[in-house]
Amino acid sequence: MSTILTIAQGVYQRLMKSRILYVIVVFCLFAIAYSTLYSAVTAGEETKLMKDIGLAGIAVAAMLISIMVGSTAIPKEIESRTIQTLIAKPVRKYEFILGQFLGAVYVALLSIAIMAVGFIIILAIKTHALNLVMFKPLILVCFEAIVLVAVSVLFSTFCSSMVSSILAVVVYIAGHLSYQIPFLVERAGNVVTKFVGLLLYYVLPNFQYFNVKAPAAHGICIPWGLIFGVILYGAIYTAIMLLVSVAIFKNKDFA
Amino acid sequence: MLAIKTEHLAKIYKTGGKETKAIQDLNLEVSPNQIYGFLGPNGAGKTTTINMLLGLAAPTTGTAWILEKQIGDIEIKQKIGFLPQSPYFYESFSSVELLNFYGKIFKIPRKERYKKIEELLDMVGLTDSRKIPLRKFSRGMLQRIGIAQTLINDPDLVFFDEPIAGLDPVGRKEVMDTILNIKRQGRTVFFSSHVLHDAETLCDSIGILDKGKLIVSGKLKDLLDPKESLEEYFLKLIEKKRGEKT
Repeated sequence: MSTILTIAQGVYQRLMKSRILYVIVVFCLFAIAYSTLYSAVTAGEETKLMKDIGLAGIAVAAMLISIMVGSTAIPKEIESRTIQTLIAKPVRKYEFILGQFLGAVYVALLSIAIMAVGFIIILAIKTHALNLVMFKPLILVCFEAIVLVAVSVLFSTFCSSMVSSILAVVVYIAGHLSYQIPFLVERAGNVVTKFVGLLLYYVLPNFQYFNVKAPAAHGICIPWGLIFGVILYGAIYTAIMLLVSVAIFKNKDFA
Repeated sequence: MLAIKTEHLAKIYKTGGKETKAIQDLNLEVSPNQIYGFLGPNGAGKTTTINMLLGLAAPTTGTAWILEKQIGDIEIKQKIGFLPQSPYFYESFSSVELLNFYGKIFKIPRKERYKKIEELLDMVGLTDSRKIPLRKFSRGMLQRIGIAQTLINDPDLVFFDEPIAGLDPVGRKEVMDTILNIKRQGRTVFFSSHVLHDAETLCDSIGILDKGKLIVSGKLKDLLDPKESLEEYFLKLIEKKRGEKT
């Protein structure tokens, strides 16, 4: 376990020196702060609009950061050949994958935490109340980010960072639309189309499960049972992604 | 005890239906406490062999033992150091951060780790550059921090892949002195090179590889005539072997 944590710490140290992360986080905080000005012209809806924009902004920034850190960590090690020195040391390939994953997750969660704290503070200033109800959608944004990092890591075990980033974005978009697949399958006449549709439905992550932003912004109470159910789904999906990543990486040469 | 032993080691790459035999039937024995030069022209298979020994590439057939343990056993890696060809390190790290990171990989306790880092930086003459990011290092400095990281775990066996290629005369001399120093500490050094003059100065034993085949291996003093240089011997041998094939 200590080898995995050492590798994760190394990934974290390197990623935190990347300026693009700070740009995304600062841009997101700026967007949330800006929404307070915009909400001033929408009488009666100010708080709801702020919550909407804030949560959506954090979700989009979390998506960008997760894909960026998840897709680049492993290809960068391979392309820069730093992996040769590392794998020649007492590091098992699964430890390498899990270390890269944990380091990337840590950076993604830290960025989300900074944005979330900024959001809660701005919201508190505006509403003169601590909106703790916002934590539930933010928890799910964190778990969506973890799943997305795992998906990006999987692609990055056999693709360049650019290709894995593109594939991860495609999966993110498809994952937010996949809940519609069963309705489309019902209407499809062709057996092959039905089969492919159902296959995609089960293989793709259902990111809509993680999206409780709208009800939260409307002040609807989201039950903890639902939150834990989605967390469990995210944990299982992440574990599967990592198992496949390790299996792919196991037989890879680094010559 | 042998430091390295290979048995019928082979690596075949398949690209687009075409087979390339990078290494063929390699049977090698390297005794401990010496400098072994693994020599050969470019593309002979030196790096491929080192990669297989270190678990960076899987052999197609055959196997090998390092310090009496079969390759693939993670325990071996506790006792070896490795400097890759044209070493690349995390360029945002400083020398201290890099050595600390690798020291942690070997689970060296914190106090001992920092003591070792200071010793190694002093040994390779990088104490004053300890906090400079590696991206600002010259080629020679990178090679020196590369050598330092090979020794962080006090290895019994050190692999150097083309350690003197591309260095200026001063850099070459520094690296060669360090390699000799490593041997004096009772370690085994296995290094690949195509710079024969320097190899002759350094090596106790050599193995010559050509087109993936080991054509000779033995003690340097037994292989060379008293008035013959390693370069003359090498060229004569390669020509002879290639002539035999045609």
